Amino acid sequence: MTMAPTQIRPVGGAPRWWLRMRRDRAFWFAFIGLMLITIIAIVGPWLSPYTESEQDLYHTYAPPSARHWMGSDALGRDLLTRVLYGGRISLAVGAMGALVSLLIGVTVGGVAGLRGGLVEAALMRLVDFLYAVPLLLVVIALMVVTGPRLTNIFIALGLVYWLQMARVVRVRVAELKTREFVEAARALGAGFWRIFRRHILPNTTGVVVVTATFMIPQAIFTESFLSFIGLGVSIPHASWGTLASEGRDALLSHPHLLAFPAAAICLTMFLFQTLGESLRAALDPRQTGND
Amino acid sequence: MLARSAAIVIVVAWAVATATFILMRMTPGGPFSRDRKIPAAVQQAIEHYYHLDEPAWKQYARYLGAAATGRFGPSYDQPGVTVGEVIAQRFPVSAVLGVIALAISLTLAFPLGIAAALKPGGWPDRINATAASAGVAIPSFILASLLLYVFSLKLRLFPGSGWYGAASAVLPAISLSALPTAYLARLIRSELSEVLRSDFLRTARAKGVAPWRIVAVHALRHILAPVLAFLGPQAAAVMTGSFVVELIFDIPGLGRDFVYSISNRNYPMIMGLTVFYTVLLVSFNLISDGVARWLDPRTRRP
Repeated sequence: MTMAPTQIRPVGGAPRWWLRMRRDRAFWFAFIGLMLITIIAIVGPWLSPYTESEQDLYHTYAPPSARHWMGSDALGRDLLTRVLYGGRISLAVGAMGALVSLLIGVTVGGVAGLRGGLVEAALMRLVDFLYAVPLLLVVIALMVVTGPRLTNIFIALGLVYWLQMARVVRVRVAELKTREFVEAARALGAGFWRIFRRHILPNTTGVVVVTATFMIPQAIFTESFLSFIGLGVSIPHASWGTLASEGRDALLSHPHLLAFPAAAICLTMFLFQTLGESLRAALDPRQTGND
Repeated sequence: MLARSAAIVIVVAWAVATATFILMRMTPGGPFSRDRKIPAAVQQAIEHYYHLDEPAWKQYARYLGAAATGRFGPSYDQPGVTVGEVIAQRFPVSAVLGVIALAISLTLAFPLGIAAALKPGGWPDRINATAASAGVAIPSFILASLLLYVFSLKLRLFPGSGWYGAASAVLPAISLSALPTAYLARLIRSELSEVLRSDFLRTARAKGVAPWRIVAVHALRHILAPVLAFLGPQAAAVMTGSFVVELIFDIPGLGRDFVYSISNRNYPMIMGLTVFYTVLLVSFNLISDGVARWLDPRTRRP
């Protein structure tokens, strides 16, 4: 006897969300844009003739030119190279922040939704309580104590942003739990973890992907905010937030030092926001009826 | 209801105070650690005076007792000034700025949201959508720097730093209001368009009630509750915004002092302000939530 299909799809052909998304111009715009930014941030620093921390004290505060495309900073470091390196860090922070919160959030939300009863009540009470706590303040206190290191930022961001993921996943799992195919699996003797892994998790992919996509720009924003107030990534590394913070010091005389990192932050956040909205329109079950 | 809200505030404040206490204890070294040896007797006397020689649980109890009455001890970088005095002196400035920012948000978001909801796909709707994306994509510290550069440094229309009257509040308030405006306009649009589709308004339209009357008299009261409930969380956005915006415009508010205390590792100040901001935000959330509930009879308990 064969099991009921674990993923709900229209019979035959590509899944419906793909048909919808394929025609969405905003999605392709954001997707290709973000791919380009990521590739440039990864490959760019190798192509640059300068390094991130190479100083040229004879050419400080140079305006954008053929030699320094984005100009140079107070120590004569090439701004383009620093923006490219900063992109690596900011994107890594966004991805890692989203990943950590994804792992915690999906586990907590999934277990709560599937187990139900006392476990669910206890976990969700915890989530509700933490929602009431202004977590950014806790992150600030945490960063003050643990010091501005990259790993600390990953951990701090992940610890803050898993709440939303846990809530979204729990609602979805609790709803899936009552579906026939889960019941059928249980009737056939599948255990808790098997049902969770094979039947529930694959069907939460939509909401998880959408929530995680919106989390990346939030993580990038929070990191740049922390760097701006002196708590983020520290010397010798520099994220976009650090660069913007440095640029602010020379705003009146050399606005290009702020303009380029700021533009990088805004463009990336905007593209992630657009991508998230396109994905939500295509994947969110509330908008699409039955998956 | 009121007792429950008070309990939530107390529990959250206690949790945050405890977390900050533990975190601050984890920092290496003490406030009186020195590179150069000082006589053991002097060291002991100082530590005894500040109760640093007591066991951790006793310090914790002392700290909680003091925090409950709003005493967070002296500020490290201004001898003779307590954290409570700094709050009393700086907070009004931040509060004024925050209220102005929220007022700007509301006055901009309502017309924009209403116009967008009345004609989906029309130009106000498109402005609304663009503003929502831009408001989310542009962090307040970038917007503030941009405004400072263009309107203060280049055009010289507004003062760029300090706190001297209404003119100096303009740019910071606009910087702070951008994010709440974007969220609010979007919220008003979606809530209003839902209400406009409801049966009772279709009836009103069929009876020939004028369109402006439908919005102003019948529809708006239904979106008041969600908008109010939304203002609580937005206060958090204004608060975080105030950290960087006050720093950029050099406004002597609590946000700027908070950032200074962070870079100076002024621990009593950091702890005190963390607890203070926590109580403030949680209370604000509960109040806006409570008022929204009270306005909406459906969510009121029988």
